[in-house]
Amino acid sequence: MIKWVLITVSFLLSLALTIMPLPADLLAVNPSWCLLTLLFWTYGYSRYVNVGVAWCIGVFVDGLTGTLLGMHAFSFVLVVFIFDLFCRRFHMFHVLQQSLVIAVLTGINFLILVIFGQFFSMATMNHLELFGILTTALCWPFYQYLGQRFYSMKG
Amino acid sequence: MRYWVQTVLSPLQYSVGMPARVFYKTMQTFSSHQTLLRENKSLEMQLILFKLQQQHFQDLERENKQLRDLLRIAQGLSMRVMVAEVLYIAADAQGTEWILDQGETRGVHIGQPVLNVNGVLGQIVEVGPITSRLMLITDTMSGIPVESATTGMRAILQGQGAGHALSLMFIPKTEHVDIGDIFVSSGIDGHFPRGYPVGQVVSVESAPTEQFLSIRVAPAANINRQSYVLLVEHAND
Repeated sequence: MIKWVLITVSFLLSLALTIMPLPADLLAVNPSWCLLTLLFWTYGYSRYVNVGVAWCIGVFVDGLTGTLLGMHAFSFVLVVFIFDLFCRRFHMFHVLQQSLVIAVLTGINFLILVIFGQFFSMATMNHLELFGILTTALCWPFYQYLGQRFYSMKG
Repeated sequence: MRYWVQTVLSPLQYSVGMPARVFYKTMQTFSSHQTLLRENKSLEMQLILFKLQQQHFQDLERENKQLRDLLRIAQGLSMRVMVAEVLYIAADAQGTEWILDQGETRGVHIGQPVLNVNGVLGQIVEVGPITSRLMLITDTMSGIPVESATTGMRAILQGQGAGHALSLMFIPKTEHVDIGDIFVSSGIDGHFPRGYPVGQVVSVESAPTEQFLSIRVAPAANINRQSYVLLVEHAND
């Protein structure tokens, strides 16, 4: 039961963090909180949180940030699917290696979004957004730490 | 679909800005008596000035109406204005879209012009039940018909993305445009009310390889920091 509450709260929190009012420059380097949370739960609970949830969260992010509906949904589904393929190996990695993998996955997510953006809204790419990948990867160790606490608490 | 997503998420949209709003409210409550008195005084002075101006305007409006009647031009001057608060800046859309706290239930509709005290801000591009999305004039998808306040020349102002000046499109090299020229909304699109300042020319370049002048215009509305905007319902007949 507590598991479901935690999952829901964590997703609500990451959605809120996604649209947190910030100065424009900070906004560009705001980590992809939703993707991180998705990967975090896929890492431990891939039976419950998987591509389906990823799609729903993606649609919510699209609704909140005003991007083309389905854009984030598509990229989240793809990234979570890829992650799920090597999830078991991921458990064996050192936390820094894990961060690196997260960086690559966030990069894929970013690439898909940029391609879609170029197609449909002639959006200009802000190069500062590339740092968003870095900040996302840097956030992973904290998630990992929280995860260890949580899983050990569960016993 | 988008409408329903907005409906579900609107509580979240409201709650995100809450800490900052609570903070400012608290600050206001505890601001000193002295400050309030000073503010009150300056506001009173402004009010006197505006009242003086208004007397003048009433006179002008009457005269204007008479002249228009003479020329048989029909134009509605009546405008209904609604104040909306900016909830947050939509993160992924280049920072040129804002979420406002008024929606369909209050009569907001797509295409509605949005102004602030300094000039034109943009227009509504999406409406939810209690929130709506404002596209600024700096958005790359935005184009607004304008005319020069001095020469009356008509043109279209196109956005170039957040943090960039707007660009005045398709002005032949024979036209005379100076730095500092003010452009106001021309209202020929039927959306924007006529005569509101949109921007001021900051640079004019005439490249030999280009067919048209390259003119950059800084937006008149102070776009960087806004918390309240005006939604205009404008009776254009």
